[in-house]
Amino acid sequence: MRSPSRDALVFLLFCAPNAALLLVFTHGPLVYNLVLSLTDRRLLGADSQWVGLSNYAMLLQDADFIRVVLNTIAYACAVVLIAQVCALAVAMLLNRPVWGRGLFRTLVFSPWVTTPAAAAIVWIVLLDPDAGPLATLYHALGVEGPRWLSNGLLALVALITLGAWKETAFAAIFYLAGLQRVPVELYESARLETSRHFPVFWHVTLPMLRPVTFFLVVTGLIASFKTFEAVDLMTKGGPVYPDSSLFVFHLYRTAFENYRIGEAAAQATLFLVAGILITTLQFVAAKRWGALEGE
Amino acid sequence: MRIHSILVSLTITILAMTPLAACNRAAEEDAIVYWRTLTGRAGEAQDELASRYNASGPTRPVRAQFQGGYGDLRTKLLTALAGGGGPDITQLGSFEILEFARAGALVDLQPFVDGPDGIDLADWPGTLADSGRVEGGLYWLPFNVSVPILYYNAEAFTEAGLDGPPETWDDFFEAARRLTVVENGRTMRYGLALWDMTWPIVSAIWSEGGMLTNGDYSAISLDHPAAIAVLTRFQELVKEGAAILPEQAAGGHRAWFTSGRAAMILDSPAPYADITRAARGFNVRTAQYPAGTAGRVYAPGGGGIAILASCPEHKRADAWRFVRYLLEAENLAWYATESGYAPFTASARAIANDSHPEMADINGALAHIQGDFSLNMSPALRDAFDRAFMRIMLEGADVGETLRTANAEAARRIARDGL
Repeated sequence: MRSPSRDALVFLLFCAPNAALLLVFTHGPLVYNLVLSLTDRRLLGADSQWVGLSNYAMLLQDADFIRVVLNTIAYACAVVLIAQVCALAVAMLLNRPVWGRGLFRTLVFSPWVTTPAAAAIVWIVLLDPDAGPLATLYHALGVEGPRWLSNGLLALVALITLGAWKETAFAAIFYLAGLQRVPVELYESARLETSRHFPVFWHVTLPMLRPVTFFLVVTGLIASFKTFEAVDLMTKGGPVYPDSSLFVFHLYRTAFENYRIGEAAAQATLFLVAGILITTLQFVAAKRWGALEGE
Repeated sequence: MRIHSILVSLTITILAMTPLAACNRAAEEDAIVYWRTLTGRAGEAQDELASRYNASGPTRPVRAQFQGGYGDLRTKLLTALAGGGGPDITQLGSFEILEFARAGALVDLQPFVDGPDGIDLADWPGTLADSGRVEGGLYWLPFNVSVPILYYNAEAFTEAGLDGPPETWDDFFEAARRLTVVENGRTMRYGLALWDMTWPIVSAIWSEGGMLTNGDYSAISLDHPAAIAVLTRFQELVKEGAAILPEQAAGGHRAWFTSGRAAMILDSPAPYADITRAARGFNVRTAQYPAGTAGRVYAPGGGGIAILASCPEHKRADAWRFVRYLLEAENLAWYATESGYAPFTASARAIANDSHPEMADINGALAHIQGDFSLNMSPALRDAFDRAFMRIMLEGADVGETLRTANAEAARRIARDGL
């Protein structure tokens, strides 16, 4: 019989490498970031003063920061909402026994495996108001097309379109897998009650997809909050900064273009807190509505 | 037995390679590491200069390493310096001079300039030699200097009945209007495509007697009457449909010019080769900037060279020898011919190959350079002015009001951050 202390020692030995890695590369930097956020540290130079919570206070009064936060919330919500609707529709189409289904599935998934930089360039060319494919269409119709990236609101819409396009691809595959796990018996029972499609979709398909939807909303929101490449390549946060800037791009600008690392650290801390809050809220809501797997 | 033999062989191989790896590392540590930016010939020519320098048998060879665009280079430098590392020498844009120098990340070059291996700065035009001076020290020396020039579509000028490039700003704005072609309510060609960088506009403001800031930021005047007047005239062109500020992501002003959709652009001479190669169906001509009421005054652009504090003391003299080599008249002249940047010293200009048409414009402009990067060096000032410019051109915002707001915002941030 093995002693409990020996088991504990083995347990600790197995945990130690991962715990050490987490401590050095995750929790350590988190604590260091928190400390930095309480100073006026610039990116270069060792001198810095303890400023308490003044970086946080300043951020809450900073019109640029508030605009960026609102942009990010609008962007994330729009991307996730549009992607869920489109992905579910695409998945339901691909779930039917149609010819070339495998090819269509590959095509649908391809935006997700396209690198963010390549995807951004594709959309830049598409939206080019004078030389892109859309411009050709406008010219054929004899109208001037919108200059997407020269208008703050349209630039944000362009970013949302790109984000939703990529996210739809990812979500469609998960919805497709989710649809294939819905027991056929449930549909058969439902059809005894009604022959209309919508009630079946509403009362059978959607509830059965709740765990998938929950997973996709959580991961979609987190991914949307972290968007950087599309902003950097398509709009640089403009045309007039911060018209179309998102959180991570603004943080990068604060740290690497304006050198204010203390303020950037405060932004990162707020980002982390917001992320934890949103995910917790989502879990609470999911638990309440039975969207967690196994409930 | 067989496994044992393999393990023994592997061990012997590793042991044999260790001294080789150590030698290689020692050689790398012995070399001067130079981080550079710029693509195309402007980048390759720097590598070639480093190779030539190495061929001349220096005490320490130079390893030129490309680090991406100016922004990438800055990010990599910041990351390396924050981590206690970094190269020995770096190419550096004017945006970073003040922050890097104040943070102690750059070596004061004045003792080297004045030393036995020094260089004669009297050969340099205007105040260019002082453009890297921060609080008494000299931390940056210009290398790839450019001046804004006017590119124009020769055939469009002939078609519009214009004899030649505009000499004054009045002529320039008039030309932009005459060059604009509208058919069936659609603009087929704009007179001017604007860059979303404010650098070319600063020269226009200076040439009208404007001043946007002094060197120590104690007198900021983004809303200087000359700035308001100049930006108003550009805005009028945009409002009339004679000028456009295209999206930079889709190629920007250069794409509009080379495709014939705009007849003039204000740009650096550095992309001259690319622009002439890309131009379709017309001949590209260049000219000096128009003159304002204060004559021709040029805000220099481009980048320079700095020795980083991360360069160990015992290597700095050798690092300086490479900096001096880059700035020697024949090397500057050769680099200018290859890259399109300016042979900015008098002696380099005297021997530069001016077979390129734009060289005459650059050479003519060099006498009018005002070596002042103050606007570039302050992120607060630069950011405020850039935003105001975009708001004025894209949103048709009131010029005076927008510049006054920008001035107040820049002053607030400078008071808070110091730059």
